[in-house]
Amino acid sequence: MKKILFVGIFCAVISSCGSEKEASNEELLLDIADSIAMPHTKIGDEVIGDLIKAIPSPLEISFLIKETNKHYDVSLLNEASNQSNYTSNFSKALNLGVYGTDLGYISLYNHTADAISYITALRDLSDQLGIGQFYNFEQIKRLALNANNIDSLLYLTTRNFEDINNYLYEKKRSEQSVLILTGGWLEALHLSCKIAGKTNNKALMDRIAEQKVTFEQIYLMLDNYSHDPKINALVDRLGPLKNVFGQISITYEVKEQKVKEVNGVLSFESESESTVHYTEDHIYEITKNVENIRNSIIK
Amino acid sequence: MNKKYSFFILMVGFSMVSWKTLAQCQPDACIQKISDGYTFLKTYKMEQIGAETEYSYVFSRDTNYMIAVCSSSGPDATVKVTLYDASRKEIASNLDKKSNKLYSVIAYQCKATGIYYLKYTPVNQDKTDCCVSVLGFKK
Repeated sequence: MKKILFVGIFCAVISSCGSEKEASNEELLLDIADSIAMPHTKIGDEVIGDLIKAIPSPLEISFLIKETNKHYDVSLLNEASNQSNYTSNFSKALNLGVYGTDLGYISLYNHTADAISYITALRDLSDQLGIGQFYNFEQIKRLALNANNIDSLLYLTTRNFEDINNYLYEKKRSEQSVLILTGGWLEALHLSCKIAGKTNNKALMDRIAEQKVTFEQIYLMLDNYSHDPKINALVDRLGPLKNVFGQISITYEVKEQKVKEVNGVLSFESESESTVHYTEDHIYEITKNVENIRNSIIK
Repeated sequence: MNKKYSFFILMVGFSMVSWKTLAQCQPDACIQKISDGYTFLKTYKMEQIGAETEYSYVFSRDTNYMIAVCSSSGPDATVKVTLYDASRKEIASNLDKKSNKLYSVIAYQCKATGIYYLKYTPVNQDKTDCCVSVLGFKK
């Protein structure tokens, strides 16, 4: 129950919409910190485990990218050959996430020839991090080579990442899960920004601005591990992005919803809507900052 | 039939029934309940049968989500899943209040981006040894 309450408090704080509401939520967070009289707000492993599960899959953005842009562009991805440059566990975990998103992008566009080198990069990095046992690379490779197996490939790779997160949680290495998620999320945002810059697609720009919600959760988790100098440096680099997302707001209009049974499934059609408030300058600033951070990660 | 042989048959039979019921709680089996066109996103497990379990997930607007609930009892749901929005307003559940029927799959057409909460509550504890739920999405 404590765990639910704790997650609830953090999520309530980070899901704030307007700027006025944000100010009051920040005060609330300070009040909570004061009331529990802790010198440093340390989130428990269990709460981190729940926050990890709350982070949306980069696949959701990848599907939107594919919907808005039919043109596949391998030059947008982190080159698979860069894998050998990553020597610390910090950079290996971040780039495992980056390559995971890249493989999702490649799979959605059915470019099987590129998939193999990215699967190999994922295998090598995960082996080096001691989590290679969760990948059946022969099976993944077989699925990747057949365009008809995309659904199975996406299912298997997503399940693999879940198993990795569960394992790292059990081994008290959740900071590596957070880094993998951060790398995957940043890569998805990088791809979105690049495609939005070319297409000016409103749905994609809305989705970029809406990343405020996920960013705040990722930032909260990374900040929890800022006693690690490398993670602390990453948190510092995220500072300008935090500033831009802080200027973006999301408002909600609550309306009625329809419920009906369709083929044995109870379906809810919600009329409640959210509106994200941002300018083109915000998208430009997000793009610029994401590129800076990504370049420092993949080099 | 001697006693040893009877015991062996009994154990094999028991193992098969146990395997079948526990298999219902495997994500690989539960994902079969998600309709074609949906892509798998997450697995959620009830940590302890008898206690409520809650998870959160960031839903995105203009996206359809589907949640399947699988438990050891077989195809009929024995666990209630309730979906709440960021302000903790109940927005969907697999328990149809009109008919009092418990569905094993629900779909939610999302038009508001934000944090959502999924709460799992056992309805028939006697029939539930385990519970797993999967979340999928479709653009």
